[in-house]
Amino acid sequence: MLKIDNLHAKVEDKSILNGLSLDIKPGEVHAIMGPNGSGKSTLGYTLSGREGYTPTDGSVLFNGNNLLDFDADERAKQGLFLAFQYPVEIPGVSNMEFLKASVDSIRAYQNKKALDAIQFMKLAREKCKAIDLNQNFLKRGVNEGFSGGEKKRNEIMQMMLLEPKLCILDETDSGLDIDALQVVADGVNACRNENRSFIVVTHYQRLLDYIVPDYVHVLSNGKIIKSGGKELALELEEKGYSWIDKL
Amino acid sequence: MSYIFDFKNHKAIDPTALMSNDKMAWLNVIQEKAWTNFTNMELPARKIEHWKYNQMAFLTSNTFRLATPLSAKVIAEVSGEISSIQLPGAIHLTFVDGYLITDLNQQPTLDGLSITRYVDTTPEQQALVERISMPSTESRNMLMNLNSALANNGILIEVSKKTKIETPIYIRHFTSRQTTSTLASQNIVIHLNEFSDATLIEQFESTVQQENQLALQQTHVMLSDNSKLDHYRLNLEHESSKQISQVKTILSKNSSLNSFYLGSGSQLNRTDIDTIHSGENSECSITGIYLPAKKQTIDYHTNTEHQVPHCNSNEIFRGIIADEASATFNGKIHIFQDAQKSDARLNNKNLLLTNKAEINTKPELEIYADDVKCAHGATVAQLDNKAIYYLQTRGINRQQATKMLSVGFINELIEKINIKPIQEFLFTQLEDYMSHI
Repeated sequence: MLKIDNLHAKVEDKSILNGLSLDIKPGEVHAIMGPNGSGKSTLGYTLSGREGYTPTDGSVLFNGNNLLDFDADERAKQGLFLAFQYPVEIPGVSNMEFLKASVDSIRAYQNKKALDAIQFMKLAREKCKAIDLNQNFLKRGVNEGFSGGEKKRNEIMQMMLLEPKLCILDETDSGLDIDALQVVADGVNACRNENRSFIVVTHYQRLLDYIVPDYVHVLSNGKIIKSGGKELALELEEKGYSWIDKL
Repeated sequence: MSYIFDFKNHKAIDPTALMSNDKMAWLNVIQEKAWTNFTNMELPARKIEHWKYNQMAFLTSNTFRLATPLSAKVIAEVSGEISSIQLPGAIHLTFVDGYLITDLNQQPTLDGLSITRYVDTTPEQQALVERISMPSTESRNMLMNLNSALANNGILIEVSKKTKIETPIYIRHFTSRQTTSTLASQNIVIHLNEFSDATLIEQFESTVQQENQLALQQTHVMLSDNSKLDHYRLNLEHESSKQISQVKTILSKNSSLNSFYLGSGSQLNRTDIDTIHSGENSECSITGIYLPAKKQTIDYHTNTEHQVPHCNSNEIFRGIIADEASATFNGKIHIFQDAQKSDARLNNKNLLLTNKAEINTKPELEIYADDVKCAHGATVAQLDNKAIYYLQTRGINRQQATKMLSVGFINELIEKINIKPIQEFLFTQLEDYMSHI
């Protein structure tokens, strides 16, 4: 599904990723943990194609395609989804209009049948309900005036609508209380299947109680320095990030 | 006979030369006043604050001939080029190069509505025109004084007391391509009597390349006590057109004005909007959208005067400036010393789509009363890269993302319009604009 080999990337003139390698197979959930500044968010931005996050070496194969050759929107069309740590507010563009444009564009690219307005509304309402998001949010500006928790639920709602192949969840647990975390995790877990893979980026182990990973990787200074099963997250929680400096 | 305007030598024909018809002698008093103002003023140029952001050199690099009425045959040809918003039941009036081509006798008559050419006015109506459209000595706009001096072909629209005109009065102003270097002039006076209610839609259009043509236009509005006007002005000219115009509205006690401006097209489109609260508890809401592209210049100068207490004004203008275009928004609020409890709001937001796009935005406040609310703000922004990236990660390409964000910047202003066909027409215009940038 995704094969990252020796990825180097810089932001402005600062090198952030320094030879990151990761191999993800269909259906797998990989957690990436690491202290602040280790490059967790940069990985998501670089993979999704954000301007200013420049790969300088290495390669990324996504379903056999060289991911780094494509613009951000094309990566999304090929099935990559990034759930933002800080979703962007876009006043003036309604959530509904935005979601419809997004779904239309991705379905067209994937040669799926276009949804008419009624089918789309039905689907959007369904997904809102699943993630416990009031349908009124569909009429509001994209993320405009949403609380932190509402924004995160909106991200997961989009993920459900777009049915991506690979989902990168960037600190999806930040800013969520325990109930919201449960709802969001339920939403994510409902999307898990043998073909869909996840990269769950998190600072804390807590999220991984709800979204149980197959693998846990520890990121430090732009490289994966240790990988293991889900028990690695517990070990990390117990010993703290200072522990990895000694590795 | 042709009349030559030679701005370079600060000469133009004497308007009294236009007054061959005795029936129009009543207009002399306006024309002479305007003419005196005109001759006492400096030519529009960058060194004059009022014209600072407009390229007016074309005035002196040509001489202009007053546009003449087109033949019936040519009118029949150009009529097909004039676009029309489908407004069921609307009263249609069409001007070509400043001349009314609509046969008023063929129009449906509506109780309480009268439309009269200046030449056919009664003495009472003439007094009314004089009262409403007499240029003031302070009038800063030289070209509008010229337009008043050329007012022979004006029309007067009156709505009687306690009358609600349910269907819009739809006026289309079309500038044809006459021979090069012509000047067209047009005047409208509209009076809403006490407790009347009407909708006026003015559309300005030209469809082909213009060579040194200049269109001057003024609409003078008088709102009597407790009357209400919805006023739309849609500028849709060809990118080579030049138009200088003014809308002056006088609001009497308890009257209300709700107006909407669209600025698109035009090489130069300059509109002065003077809104005078002369009666207590009058209120106005003025909304505007401007969409210059290529090398166009669109300029709105608003002047909102609160002369008496307890009036509200609310102005919202938003613009998207593309390519190498420029826009100016100069919003003046003048609150007189006696105008206590005035509530005046002014907001202007701009979105620059390129590094070469230019916006000049200037709020001007003159407040002489001490118990007033006055809020003003202006912003200039470029497209938010973070927002574009966010949309891209959802499969929306950069071009479409730019479009969505730009439309999102102004569509709430269009959504507020309550005449559906106009709202739809504006969305189409916006789509069209966005597809070209």
